Amino acid sequence: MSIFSKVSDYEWEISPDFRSDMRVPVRIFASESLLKDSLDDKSILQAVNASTLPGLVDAVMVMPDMHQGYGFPIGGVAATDPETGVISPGGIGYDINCGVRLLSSQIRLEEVKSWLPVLANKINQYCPSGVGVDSDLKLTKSELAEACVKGARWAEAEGYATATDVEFTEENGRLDGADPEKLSERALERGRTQLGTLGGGNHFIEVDLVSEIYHERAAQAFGLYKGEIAVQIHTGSRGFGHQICTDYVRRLQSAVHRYGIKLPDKQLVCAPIDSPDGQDYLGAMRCGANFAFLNRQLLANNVREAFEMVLAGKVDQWHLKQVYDLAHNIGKFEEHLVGGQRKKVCVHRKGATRAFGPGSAGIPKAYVEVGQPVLVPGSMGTASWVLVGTETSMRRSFGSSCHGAGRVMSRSQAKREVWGEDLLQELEDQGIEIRAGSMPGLAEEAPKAYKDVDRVVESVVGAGIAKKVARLQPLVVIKG
Amino acid sequence: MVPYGYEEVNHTADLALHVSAEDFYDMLRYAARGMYDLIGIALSETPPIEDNFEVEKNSLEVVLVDFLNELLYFLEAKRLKLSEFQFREQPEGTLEIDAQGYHVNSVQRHIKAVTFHNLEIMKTDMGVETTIIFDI
Repeated sequence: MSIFSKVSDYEWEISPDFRSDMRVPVRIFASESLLKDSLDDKSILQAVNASTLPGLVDAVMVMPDMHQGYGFPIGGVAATDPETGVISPGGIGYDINCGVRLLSSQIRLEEVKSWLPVLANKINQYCPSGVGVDSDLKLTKSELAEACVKGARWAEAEGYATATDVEFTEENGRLDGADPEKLSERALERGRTQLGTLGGGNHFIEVDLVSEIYHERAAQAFGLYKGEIAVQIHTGSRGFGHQICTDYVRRLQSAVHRYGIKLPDKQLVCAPIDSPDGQDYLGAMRCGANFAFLNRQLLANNVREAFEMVLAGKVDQWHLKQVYDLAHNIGKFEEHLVGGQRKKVCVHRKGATRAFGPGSAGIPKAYVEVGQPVLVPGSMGTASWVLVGTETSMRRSFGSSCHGAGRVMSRSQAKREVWGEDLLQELEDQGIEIRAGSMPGLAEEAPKAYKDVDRVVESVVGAGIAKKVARLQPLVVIKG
Repeated sequence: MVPYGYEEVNHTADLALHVSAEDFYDMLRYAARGMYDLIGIALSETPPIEDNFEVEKNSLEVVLVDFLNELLYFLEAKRLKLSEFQFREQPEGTLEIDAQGYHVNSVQRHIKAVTFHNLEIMKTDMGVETTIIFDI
């Protein structure tokens, strides 16, 4: 613990003097106990390694849900100067724009309780999930190329999205500058059959109960009311994004030598932002990001259809309204205060969420007074949180916050300690409807394999980089 | 740890495999078997087919990652599990690989990619060894 200087009860720093190749400090947002827990894996070492990248601005930041990744830690945030800095695929991740969408409703629990098993079956039927499962929607390569340039606007034009959905999505569901010419044939081949699929692993769809409200004004702005139903969708860019990252991590292995960049870990591979390699990766990555926005949009459309099929005529209002959709693996150009001056920087978030505060540009008009929603899903069967960004996050963390609970246990250990069938029974005994593709897969996602999300949220709130708005309890969990 | 072969090692969020072999091509074979074991594959009864692919000659680590990523591609795109590898180095600088492709019914787990994280193939008295991290 001696390498950490305490800034506050929930903020710590490692000075760049700690290691000779560090270019900036490492700033960690965590309670002391979560910080001590993080020493069980290599997440802090990975943050120190990330701080060696050229062109970094201010500090490398780590969120309290941190855990060991490859290259960057999960829960890492790093910003680079567009002129002197690098872009690193490892700082964004293989699942480009893995993220979360939250939908609200005016459905009260008592109206829908008896229909939850049927609703679970219908959502499971309408939303393709699991390993190797393709979409019913199969695009040609040129259609896919068009879709990932237009992003959410493509979904709107095709009738899968409303204008409100687009407005209440980070970046309006589209990163500018997506370039399908920078995609491999293999990426296009993988992506064209996967739009509108959930995937497996820790991806899920949940029907939740809004169980507590902590910030009335923000909750009202977001359309969240205690006792009403909400829906979360957690997924990303599927094989399309994975292939893009694979292609560019491979390509940049040789590029780093050309640019004279020395790396403590090959997975930190990068290229100068203003180089052809850097620009090509940005063009491809933005395609992956736009694909993921579309993916969550199509799934949301299918969930809405499931709600209509089951609940129309049985409840007054079965419609689902978009609260927000945000990314937790992405690289974007944003303006932030650096040394007292507004400056454009390339923000890498890997397992971290944008958390813009009140008054920020780039968030929906309806949220400008309160700030941007921050969605923090817990582990399966446990609570999730809706937070809101703050002015402190804009000053201390490049407008970023945590993204979830963070793993503490390997998948093999989870499978050794938990029997999927037992876990299923436990969750059902708690009144949660579970639809899972695989019992071993369910065991791997057991709550004990993750940190306590309440402790993670306590840390970001304690650090001032987010505020609590609402707590969500799961009623239905669909896992791939 | 057996002298040659593969073994899953603990990794918090992803999967890791330690592989040791007498030589590099055997390492590729064991790494393939280990990765497929981590995925958990059920095969169909359809007779296997012959298939082949190539990877560019490069550092051993890059060839290993490229080889395994090709296997992931075959699994996803063609629903084939490849084995019985035969390796042929071509004068133009590629490694050609012939294999038997077995048709796949289902998989338990999806590996997104093979990473370069801390990847180093080390020579030992007995041959070569490495630890590979897979993103899932």
